[in-house]
Amino acid sequence: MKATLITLVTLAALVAGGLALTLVRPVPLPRTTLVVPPASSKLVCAPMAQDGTLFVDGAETIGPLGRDEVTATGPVLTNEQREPAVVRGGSSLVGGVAASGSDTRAFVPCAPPRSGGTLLVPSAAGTDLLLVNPDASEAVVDLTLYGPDGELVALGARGIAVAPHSIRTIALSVLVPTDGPLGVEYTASRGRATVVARTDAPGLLEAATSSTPGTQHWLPGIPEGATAASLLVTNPGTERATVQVSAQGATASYRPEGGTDVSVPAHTTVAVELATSLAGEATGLHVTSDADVAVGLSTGTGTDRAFTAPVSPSTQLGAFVPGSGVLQVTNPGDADATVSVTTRTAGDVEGQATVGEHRIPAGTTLVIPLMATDPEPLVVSVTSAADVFGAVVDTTNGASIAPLSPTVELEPAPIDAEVVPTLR
Amino acid sequence: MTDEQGVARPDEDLWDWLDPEEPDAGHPAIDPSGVTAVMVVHNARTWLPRQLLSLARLDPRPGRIVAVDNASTDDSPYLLARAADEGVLDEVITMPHNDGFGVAVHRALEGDEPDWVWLLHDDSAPLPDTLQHLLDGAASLDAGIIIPKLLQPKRRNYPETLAEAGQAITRGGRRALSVEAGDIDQQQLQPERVLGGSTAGMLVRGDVWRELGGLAPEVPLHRDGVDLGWRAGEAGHVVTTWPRAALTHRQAGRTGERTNSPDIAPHQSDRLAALRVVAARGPRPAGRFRLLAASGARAAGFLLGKSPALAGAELRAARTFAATPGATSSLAARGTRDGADVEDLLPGRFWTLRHSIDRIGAGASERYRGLITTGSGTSIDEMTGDDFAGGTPGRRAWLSPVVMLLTALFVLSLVAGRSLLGATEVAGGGMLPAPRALGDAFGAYLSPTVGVGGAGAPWILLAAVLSTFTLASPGWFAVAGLVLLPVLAGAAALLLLRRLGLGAAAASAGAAAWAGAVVLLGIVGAGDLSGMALAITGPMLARSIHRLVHDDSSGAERLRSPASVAFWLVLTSAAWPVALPLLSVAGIIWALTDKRRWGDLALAAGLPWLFLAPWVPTLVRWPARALMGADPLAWPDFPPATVALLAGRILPSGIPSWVNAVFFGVLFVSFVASLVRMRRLRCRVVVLAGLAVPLVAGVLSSKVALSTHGGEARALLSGWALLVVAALLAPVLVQLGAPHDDEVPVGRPAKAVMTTLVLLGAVGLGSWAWVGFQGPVGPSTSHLPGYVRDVVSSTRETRVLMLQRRPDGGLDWNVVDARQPRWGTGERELAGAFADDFGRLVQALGAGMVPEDLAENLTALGVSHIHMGGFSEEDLASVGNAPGLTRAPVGQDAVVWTVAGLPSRARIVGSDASVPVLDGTIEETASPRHLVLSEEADPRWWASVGGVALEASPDRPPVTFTVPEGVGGELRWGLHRSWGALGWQVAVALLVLTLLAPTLGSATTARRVRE
Repeated sequence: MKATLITLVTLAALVAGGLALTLVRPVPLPRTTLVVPPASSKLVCAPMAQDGTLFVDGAETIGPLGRDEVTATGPVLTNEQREPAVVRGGSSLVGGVAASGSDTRAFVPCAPPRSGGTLLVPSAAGTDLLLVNPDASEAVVDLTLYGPDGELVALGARGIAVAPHSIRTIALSVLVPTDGPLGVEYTASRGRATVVARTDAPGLLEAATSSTPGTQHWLPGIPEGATAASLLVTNPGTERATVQVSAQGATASYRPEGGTDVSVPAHTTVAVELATSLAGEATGLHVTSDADVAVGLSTGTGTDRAFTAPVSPSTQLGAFVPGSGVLQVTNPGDADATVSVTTRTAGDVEGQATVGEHRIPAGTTLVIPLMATDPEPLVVSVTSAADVFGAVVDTTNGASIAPLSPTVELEPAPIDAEVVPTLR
Repeated sequence: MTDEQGVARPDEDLWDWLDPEEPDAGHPAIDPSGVTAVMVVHNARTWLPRQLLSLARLDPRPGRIVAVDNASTDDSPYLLARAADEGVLDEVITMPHNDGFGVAVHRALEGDEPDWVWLLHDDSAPLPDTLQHLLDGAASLDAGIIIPKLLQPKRRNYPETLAEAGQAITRGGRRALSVEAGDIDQQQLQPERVLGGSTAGMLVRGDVWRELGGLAPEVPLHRDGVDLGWRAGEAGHVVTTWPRAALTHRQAGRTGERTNSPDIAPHQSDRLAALRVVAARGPRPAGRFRLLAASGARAAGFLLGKSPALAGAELRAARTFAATPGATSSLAARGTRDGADVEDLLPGRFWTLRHSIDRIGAGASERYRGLITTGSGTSIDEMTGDDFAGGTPGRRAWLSPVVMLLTALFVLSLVAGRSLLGATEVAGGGMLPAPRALGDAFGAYLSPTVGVGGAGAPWILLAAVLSTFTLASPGWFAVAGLVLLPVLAGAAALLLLRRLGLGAAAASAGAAAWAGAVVLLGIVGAGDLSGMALAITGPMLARSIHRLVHDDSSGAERLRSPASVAFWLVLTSAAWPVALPLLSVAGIIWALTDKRRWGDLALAAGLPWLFLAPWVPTLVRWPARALMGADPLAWPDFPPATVALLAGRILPSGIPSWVNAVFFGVLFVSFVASLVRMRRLRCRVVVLAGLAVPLVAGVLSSKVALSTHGGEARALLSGWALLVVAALLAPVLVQLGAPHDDEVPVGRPAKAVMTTLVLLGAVGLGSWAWVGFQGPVGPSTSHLPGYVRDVVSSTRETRVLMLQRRPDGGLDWNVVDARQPRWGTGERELAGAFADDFGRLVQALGAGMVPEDLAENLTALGVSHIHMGGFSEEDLASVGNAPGLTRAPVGQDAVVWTVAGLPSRARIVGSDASVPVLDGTIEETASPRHLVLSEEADPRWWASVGGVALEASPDRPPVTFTVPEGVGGELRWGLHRSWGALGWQVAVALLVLTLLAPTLGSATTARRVRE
């Protein structure tokens, strides 16, 4: 009996010990990859129809298309830019090409090459499509054109091959003989390209860059006293889209007249004129839709027009611009935002920057003058606790909008990526 | 002969009812007085008295009995003299030299021309009526030579067994008997024409004897009867058997019981005679060189059979045969070349093969019968009676518990494997896909693991070898292994338990519980290759160890039990390397306590170490690998179970957890009940220790992460878990363990225990059959489209980066190429030295932040395609923004990105460009270049261009070779294959198998074993 008792007690102790051991937390297996990917980007700065000036900041290398790139440090300014430039850098890379003519001016931001996107122009007249292939492999691009009356079938819009490190120009006016707003969707079946629609018409020098269709868009830069503010909306989908427009003016956020329940049929592009309802205030637009749409903005104070594509709100924005005009920062949020605006010239060394703190009420746009006299190229940085968007708007001798680009150093959390050897 | 004729019959002839009721009166009887019996005697002291007694009892007696003493050196002459004095013998002739049987007979018949000559050996005791039967046969068949039936020496309480009834000879000189030696004599034989036979009891008509010149002196001891019969047949005489006439033939010469003078090994003289006969006889006698070559092969076979004496005798016979062509010619001259055709009496071309298969089949049948039967064996009544005679009443073979168990296991396994039937590729859990072909399986072994010295893991070789038994298809081997594992594991446990003395029913119950536990542990459902192997090899290893412990054999046979341990230990340690050092330590301790055993233990543990030697560098570099199973890095990171571990939930199996809880709960209760019934405290301590050690080791193993070859993995749990199950079953089975012969345990406790075990097995296997393969393992096919696979397997040998978005947002990823994933690739970190590179790419692709140099990175890594499944269109669009990628849809939710620029695993780097090698050839140039392989550094890489071996460039990044100027042509590259390791391991394996194989011995050995 005693032996049995001892046996049972020993067994119980063994089971209890085993039970306790099972509760020990196991050492994790390092099967997941926790490596932060390198952030690098390549931008193509497409030339305007006339000589322009290249503004690039944050680039590591810079060079003409298809030729050796050189290392760059700090803000880089290149005059008489007639060829596309390829710049590489990190997340703070910003830049664009500025050009001016008789009572017209323009600023086209550098854009990354993409495999697809949509750009919108008020009219095909005098507009060329620039397809820039900055890569070492050929790109083949298909164009789909959406006019006010639906999709436009154009000969030569499919299978447009762009050789490596080359540029190809397509005259939209040839593809689309009709007038009216036009949405151009491009898809690269092979490779990728930076596509820019540049307009060179009497009294109008401008270029439109591409964006990706979505249900929310933010458009910056409607200047004070704007006489034109045409919202271009393309619905590439197969269902009708209903668009709502919210204007963030100088004092409040509101629904501009004509910006409510804008119905956009499938495969069409419409233009919504908002200037009369904006009260001449510097304004940023927030466009929402119940289906993916692409948007663009054509605005100006006189005869000249400036095109701009949607931007992404961010807590850190930046731009390298000629220096004239004003900085318009829009707070699309529901709470007031305090922004810190830093400006420095290309020749400034660290510590010489001008810093200003500004409070932007919720849903409003703040206008901050830059250099009233003797403007110099400026590196503009905006930081905020909340997401804001904006642009540098110049309406002297024409209109140009240089949108602020997000410069946040992206540090994405590593994804739980596990090697699964049986995946095949 | 019948009783009606009034002929005396021996009382012990139990088969007289089979005799024809009426005599054949168509032929005149032969007078026995015309028969001269010649008995040649040589050193026959031991058995000669019985022989003389048999002669004395002959009825009728031959007319004259002459004994020839062939220069005996023992008491035989004295015994013969006494027999002559007593009238048993009519004459005794003493030969000065032993010149063979034939010469002695000739000497005895000098000056005598009898009607019939009856040849007798000194160890061939005729029955009293043997001569009469022979004469009857001769009269009936008008035969020239009558050959009686020879019986083996009778054993007490055993029926008479046949030795032979006439014989022939194969073209290789092998003795071809018309009966199976050892068969029970049931008077089943009928007279038939034969080529010849033993001279023991052979009756030769006098005129035939004189026509043929008697026995040939060139075949002095053996095969002389075959030669004589052959010649007689060619001369047109009838040579036939007459099975009613019988002699008990001791075969003292062939079995080595006789001390020969001169001292020539029986096998040597037998083989020499055989060689001469087949070289001399027939229209197309066997060629000399072919016979010598065959003798060499036979000698090698004897060596493999651990019988060097027989091998030496074989070679000496061959040498003598080669050195004495005159004897062969002389023997040939005695025949009648253009005589009658006796070809139909010779064995067929494939007789040897057929006979070998018959013997193997008979051996297997015997073993199976021994496994399933519950009686003491076959009785004569069972063989000869009707359905109701003898044997266990009402018991049929299919009602044997063993048969029922194996049948049930097989059926349940097939039901459970319904989803795998027809699949040629299975994978999941810890099981990687099998190679496509057998050559690939061996190739997987021959390709050593990059980055560490030595050969690949030995389990890959064993898996490749075993795959040859599934129609040379590794895929089918994998499917068969998964489906049939419970059957094999149950059979292994059954063999162990039967060896331990359990009856068939008890052993079957224990085996059922073992098979059920194997299934519930998740070993099958999770693709635990090592666990699967251990479920079979574990019991077999224990069985071989038990055999070693109780082995009291001697000589070469003594080597078999340690070789058996070595064999199963090789398989066990290949699956679970830690088993080898653990058992080696145990063996050392045993050897220290019993020094007589050191040889056995050195053999049992040393051979596995030798087998594993080529893999030791890996174990030295990564010692923790010893605790892991096959392909340790192939396992997904299954969250280790906590409390469920105690319910055997070590791996996901797809079977509901409550089944585990019920199974192991009941088993534990049975264990406790059995434990407390053990009377000896020492036994309890041993059982508890046997449970505690693997339990604690297993639970601790599940908690740690161990390093192995670039990655970290868990230790193998199934090995410990199986030991725990064995420890739980052991005391339970002890309750059934009456080592008496196969009786179903009696008494209510034993029946309850057995019922419990059977129910446990039914629960485990039944639930598995119901659920099937719902665990990680299942049919597996490649998600890659054909054109991608074509590129991967082309001369470019590219890689594919595969990513699959999980529902939780995480990613599964893998690097696939023509060689992975498959068996063995889980032995190392999948991406090897490129793990960080691939990790960054995976993160970039997963986060939609593809770098600008994505294509360049992929090209440098030899990646030609990216397969992305489950990604949103937004994610894919961001990837598409990277340069150098072309997208194509695959199925519903996956895309394949093709990397531009045709990447290749091999690149030629010149002064100004890096060009992928696309078609496996390199153009000749005037300046030197470098060949860069996208591989991990290893000194065993080699490359050649146009047959010119390239030199490595150690000053450049790995793996780079210098292509000299003017060199061009086909590019070949790879790792130096482990042929040396393969040769070594095959040699060790052959040594183990040789030692393990039954020992080839002379008939003496066999008889001694039997007696």
